[in-house]
This record gives sequence, structure tokens and C-alpha cells, in this order.
Amino acid sequence: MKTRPATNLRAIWARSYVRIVGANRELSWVFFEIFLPLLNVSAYVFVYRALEAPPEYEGYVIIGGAMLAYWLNVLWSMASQFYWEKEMGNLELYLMAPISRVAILLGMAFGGMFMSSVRALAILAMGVFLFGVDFQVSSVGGLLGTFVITLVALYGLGMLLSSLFMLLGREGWHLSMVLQEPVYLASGFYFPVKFLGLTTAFVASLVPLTLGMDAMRQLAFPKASETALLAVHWEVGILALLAALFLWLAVRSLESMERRGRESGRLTLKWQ
Amino acid sequence: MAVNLRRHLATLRFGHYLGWSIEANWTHPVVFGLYSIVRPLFASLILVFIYRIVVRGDLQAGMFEFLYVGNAFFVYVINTLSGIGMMIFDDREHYQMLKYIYLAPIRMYWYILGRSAAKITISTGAVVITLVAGLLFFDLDLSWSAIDWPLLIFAIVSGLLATLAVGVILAGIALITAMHSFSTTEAVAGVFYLASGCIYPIDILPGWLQVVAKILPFTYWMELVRRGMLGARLSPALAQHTNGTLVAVMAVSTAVLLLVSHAGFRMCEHGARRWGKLDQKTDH
Repeated sequence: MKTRPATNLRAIWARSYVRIVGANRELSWVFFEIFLPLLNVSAYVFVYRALEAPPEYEGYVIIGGAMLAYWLNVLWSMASQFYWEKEMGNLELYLMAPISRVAILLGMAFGGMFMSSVRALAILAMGVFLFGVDFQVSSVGGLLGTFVITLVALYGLGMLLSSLFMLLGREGWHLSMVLQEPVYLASGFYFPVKFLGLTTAFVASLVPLTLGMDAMRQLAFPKASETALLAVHWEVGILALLAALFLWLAVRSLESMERRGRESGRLTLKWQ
Repeated sequence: MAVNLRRHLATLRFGHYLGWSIEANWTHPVVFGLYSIVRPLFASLILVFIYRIVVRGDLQAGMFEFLYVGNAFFVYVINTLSGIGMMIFDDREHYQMLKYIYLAPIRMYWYILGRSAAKITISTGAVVITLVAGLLFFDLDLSWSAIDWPLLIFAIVSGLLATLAVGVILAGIALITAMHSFSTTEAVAGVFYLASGCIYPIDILPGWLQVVAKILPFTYWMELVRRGMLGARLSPALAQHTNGTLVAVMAVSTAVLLLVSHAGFRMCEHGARRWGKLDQKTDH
């Protein structure tokens, strides 16, 4: 039996409500959400200052730091989320409810985007007011468009990882840990990715943030085009393809993992 | 007294064993070994890239060694402190074992110390491999003959004790702040990373942050480790201090931290019992 679209829309809102409204009721969480990434980003800005790097590199760190909020959200609140839901006993409730599983994933994604945007905005504000970073945006529309397509592709990847991680136990948690620093390096969170060499940079482009950040840096700093991987329009085009691919794979993978989980009885297995 | 000490040491040993098992038994030992070194190694690689390729560092001699060694050793602080909040959360809410540990005839302080010590053990592998990778692949300029072994050994031991002490204090705070346990410990580790000059000289920090840096024992720890390993004094703000002064500062602050950790943890523990926080569940 098909679920009515309105029911799925309500499920999307219900799942994202927890992240949009619920999480912000605890003010200390909001504070830490903003404060914690500022520390790390500030440290890298100070590294560039200690190394007497050109000032635009501080701007690259700020953009990387802002986008890092989304990557952490994808890892911890998308990819490994079903692990937590399983541990807390929510996963079986989702599966019993007369809604599409994709609605739950979309709700997680929209809520996560909102949560991370608060962090990202705080980091951008810190870049401008605390470190005096001078953003020289050549096209506001282009920058916003690139940002949005990057997020769609990134959260598409998050939805895919979420379904792949569905059956994992503690190893899923550890896998998320392991995907932090290597991706910070390979995607060029703190420097232009081209410096890693073309082969590494193209492989790293499977994580949409790689091309997204490269394009946004080009649109926000004129000098960034000298160290860019590809022209902006190419990067945006590839991101659109990645978005479509990841969303399609996420839906397929979710169905397959749920079926495997039911067959092997691992959907409700706790404390593995 | 001797019987008590033996019991406490046994608690510490079992806390360490349990911590090790929880951290390591989810996979094959080889996979666990790789997992343990991936994060610190890649964090160092980011700095290597920034220095060698992005900025093409041709600055003050020894700057690369300064940031590489600092970053490698700071893994102890990051891993131990960041893991403490999670550890309390796991025991209290995830596995819901904290109340049973309290029923056992052991002192919680020693148990927490043992669990934190397991994080130190795991971090040691990461620190050693990061340093070896630096020597083998990144031209880290370390000369065995230049190492001041007594100073280095003192620095490492006192730094690890200070880290354990801060870890226990944070564990106590995590006991009474159920909903904030991860964030508090991560924030403290983050402030130490930013302010203690582990990847840059503290002179680069704004004035008010330099004041914070000079209060933190980890600033002096980092300086002592570098002097012991590299013999270098790259931070003008700290160069004026002799090795003897730094050793005294580190010895006193470690002793104070250990005493505060003991008293502070007991206070928090008492509060947690009184306010019914020991079996509180907030992960619904």
C-alpha cells in the first residue's frame, strides 16, 4: 500500500523538527555547536599566520571550517544516525510507521542542514569580524547556487551512508571517526585541493565538498582561481551529477539494507 | 593502607583492561591498530601539506619540527579528554552499567583513572607511529644525540599525569552534567589545542589568549617536550624560562592538578549521587 504524500511530508517535518526545534531548546548545545568548531578553525588560521601565508589562505580556512560543520553533521547525524536509533529503540518505530523510509532520511537531512547552518554562519561571522577576512564575492547568486547544489549532493551522500551503515554496530561509529581527518585532508578543508595532485583531488571529488569548496573559494576570492582544480561551471555540473547519483543510490541501498536487516535479524540488534 | 593501595591499583588495572577492551574488541587487532593511527596521522599530514606544499615553508629553522612534534604529542590530550565525556555517557546511559560499578567494592576515582589510562595507552601507539612516519617520510629533523632524555622523560611523565588529572576532573563534571558531557570535554580539549601553542608559538596569539596560554600547564608541557626532543626554543615568550623553571612549573602544576582531581571528583561524585544523576538517561 502506497503512503499518501501528505503523510510523508509530515514525517519529513517530524524528523527534522527534532533537529530544527528540539535541539535548539537546549541552549548549551547551541553554544557548544557554535563554539567547538570555532576553536579548530581558529587554530588553523593561527597556523597560517605563524607560517606567514598570504591572507587569502585564512579565508580558505574559514570556508573550509564553515563547510566542515556539514561534513561532521553528515558523518554523525546522518551516516551513523541509524546506529543510534537502533541503540535507543527508535529504528523499529520508524520501520513500523506507515511512512516511507526516505521521508525519515530526508527529515534527518533537512534538520541536519539547519543545525549545521547555524555553526557555519557563526564561523563565517568569526572569519569576518575576528580575523578580518575580506570576502570579494564575484557572484552572490552563483555562490548561493553552488552552496545549495553542494549541500544536495553532500546530503545525498549522507543518505547513502546512512543506509549503508544501517546494519553496522560499533564499527559504524568507528568508521565515522576514521572518515574525519582523512577527508579533511583529501577534500582540502584547509587548503586548495589542487595541491594534493590531480589524481588525489579527482578521487577526493567523490565527496561533494571537495568540488563545492573549490568552487565557492573561486567565487569568494579572486586569487583562488590560480589554485583551482576546475572552472566553476564544470565543478557545479559534476556536483549536480553527483547529487542525482547519490540520491538514487541512497533509495536503492536503503531498500536493500532494510531487506537484508530483516532477513538477518540485525535491525534491532543492540550493543553489538 | 597497603591493602587499600593494592585494591586501588587493582581497580586501576581492571579499569584499564575494561577501557582497552571497549575500545579495541569491536574488530580485528590489525584493523584496530590502523584505526587508532589514522586520525592523528592524517591530522599531522594536514600540517605537513600546509607547511611543505601550500606555504612552501622556508621560515625559521625548526618550525616544521616545532609544529609536527607538538601536534604528535597533543594526541594524548585530545584523545584522553575528548573520550572522557563519551566514556561516562556510555557507562551511564548507553550500556547503563554505571550504577552496577557503584555497587562494586571499588573507588570510582581509581576506576576512572584506569579507563583514562587505557586512552593514554592507545594514544601512545598513535604518537609513536606519527613520529616514526615523520622521520621516515617527512624529513622530520630529529637527532637522537640531541635528545635530552632526562628532560624528555620528565616532560612525558608529568604531561601524561596532568592529562589524566584533567581527564578525571572532566569525568567528575560529566557525572553531574548529564546532557553536556561530550561537549564540555571536547570544548576543554579544543581550548587547550588552541591556546597551548601545540602547533604554533603562543606569540602569534592575541594578547588575551597569550595570558590564557601562560596559565595552562599544557603550554609548558609542550615547550618541555620540544626542548627535550629538539632542543629548540622557538617561542620568544617562553624562551626566557630556563629548563629548571619549566620543570618546576610542570611539577607543581601536575601535583596541584592531581590533588584537585581527587578532591574535585569526590565533590562531583557526591553531587551526582545527591541529585540522582548516576542513572539518568538523556539519549531519548
